Amino acid sequence: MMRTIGSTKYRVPNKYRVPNIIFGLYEPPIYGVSWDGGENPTLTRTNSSQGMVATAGVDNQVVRNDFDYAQIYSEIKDYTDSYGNEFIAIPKCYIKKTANGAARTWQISKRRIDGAYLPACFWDFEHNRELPYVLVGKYTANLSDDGTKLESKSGKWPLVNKNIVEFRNYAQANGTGYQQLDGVIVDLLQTLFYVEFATLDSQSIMMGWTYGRLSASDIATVSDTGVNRIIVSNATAAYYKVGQPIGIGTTLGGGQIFNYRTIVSIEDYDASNKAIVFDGNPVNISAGNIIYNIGWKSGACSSVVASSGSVFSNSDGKNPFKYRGIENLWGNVFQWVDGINIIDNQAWISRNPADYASNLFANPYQQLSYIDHNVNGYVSQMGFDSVNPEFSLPISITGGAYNKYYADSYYQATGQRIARLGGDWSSWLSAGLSYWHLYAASGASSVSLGGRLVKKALE
Amino acid sequence: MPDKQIIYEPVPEFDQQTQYVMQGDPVETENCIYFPCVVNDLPPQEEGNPEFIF
Repeated sequence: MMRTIGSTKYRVPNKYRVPNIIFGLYEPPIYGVSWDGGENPTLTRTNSSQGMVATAGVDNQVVRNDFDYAQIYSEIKDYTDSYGNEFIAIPKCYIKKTANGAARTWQISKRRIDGAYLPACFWDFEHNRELPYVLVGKYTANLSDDGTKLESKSGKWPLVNKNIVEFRNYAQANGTGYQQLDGVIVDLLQTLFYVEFATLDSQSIMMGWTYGRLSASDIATVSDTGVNRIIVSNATAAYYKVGQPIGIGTTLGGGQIFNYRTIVSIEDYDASNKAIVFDGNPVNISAGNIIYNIGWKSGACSSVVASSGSVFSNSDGKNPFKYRGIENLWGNVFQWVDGINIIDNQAWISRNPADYASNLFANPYQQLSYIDHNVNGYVSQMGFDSVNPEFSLPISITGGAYNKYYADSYYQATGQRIARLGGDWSSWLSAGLSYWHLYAASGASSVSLGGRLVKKALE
Repeated sequence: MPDKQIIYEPVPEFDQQTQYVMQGDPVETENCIYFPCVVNDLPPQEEGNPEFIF
């Protein structure tokens, strides 16, 4: 609904008064970017975002981000539900995308632009009405203490080692409107990010927790009993840092000794080895046990002052970050993405959480108009289905690299697959907001696969 | 002549971790085109944990 200038109920921000007044009516601004489809992932700002600047901060650094004062972005707020789950509330907005060959445009606005769509997270399928906002989990999801519900709470270790079906069930156990991250929300977040930071290379803005370790060669060199340390070679110790989360197992990622501990110091042991000291109860370590990093405990970015930014560094890949308050949107642990099923590289999609089911390749899921690429690599082109523009999956890797085109990796396999996004702590430069991993089957789970709780504004 | 009504079979109960559902070949009748659902078992998955290969 457009509102007239001068209404006592509505104050138009000064910076938008002139360009957005049409015949005496106020029209909400459109923020946009365009891309020529070339290897440079930098986007050209269009519409009202021309000339705007967006910067990510570090710790308590105050940075310039013009989007902090822009519609939609300035209205993104913290929200806590009745369970104490912490979310980021994103206001209703419209998205318009165009495709011309590999070239793309993205626009986002509170105005219903010609050719735009209302993301389905703002739609109540049962009552056929629009919804004012959607709640995206502020943190990587954790499991409730009673083991029955997916949560989004600070100070919790991420839930992992559960498959996408289990995550869906845990999310829905919270009640009406609760779901896990889906393709619709991913599209919304990608569009918000691309428009704000004007790049497809999300890791060039914030690297995320992507340079951690997950290697079977990181082994204990000494057996120890009743200790809070693991002795490793100097070379192995150099990969780790105080404050990082770790696990130790007899297998890589297995957690047989423990998961969910934090490194409190790294000390000299002898000329060839160092002691990595961790918190918690003492354990027994056998030579050959494997140490590895894990996903970060939630809430690590609470001290980051900027709307988006990282702990300690935006570029070292060793720390958590937040995008508009959403922590670890890429890196850390992969996030299951619901509403997308793939069979032999053909994606079938749904945008109604009530219909979500894995391995469903029939109505009410719909087949996309394009086939995903059948080779792994860095993505150079995403598919575009004008009927289902929310769902952009890789269709080419030609020329792709960590800093070119979408600047993120893509993995796939034939057969029946489900989707996950973003990468984990060991993904390095493969990670990012366009990193689609369409390899796993519905029963897959591991220490690096997690999720995110979402809630639609349904009663 | 009006287009025939398209009717999809409701998705049957299936085990999402061991089975998959495909749209079957359409069956055309005098009044409608009916799309059945076909439930199949998933093929055996790879040995080991494929999550760590990348």
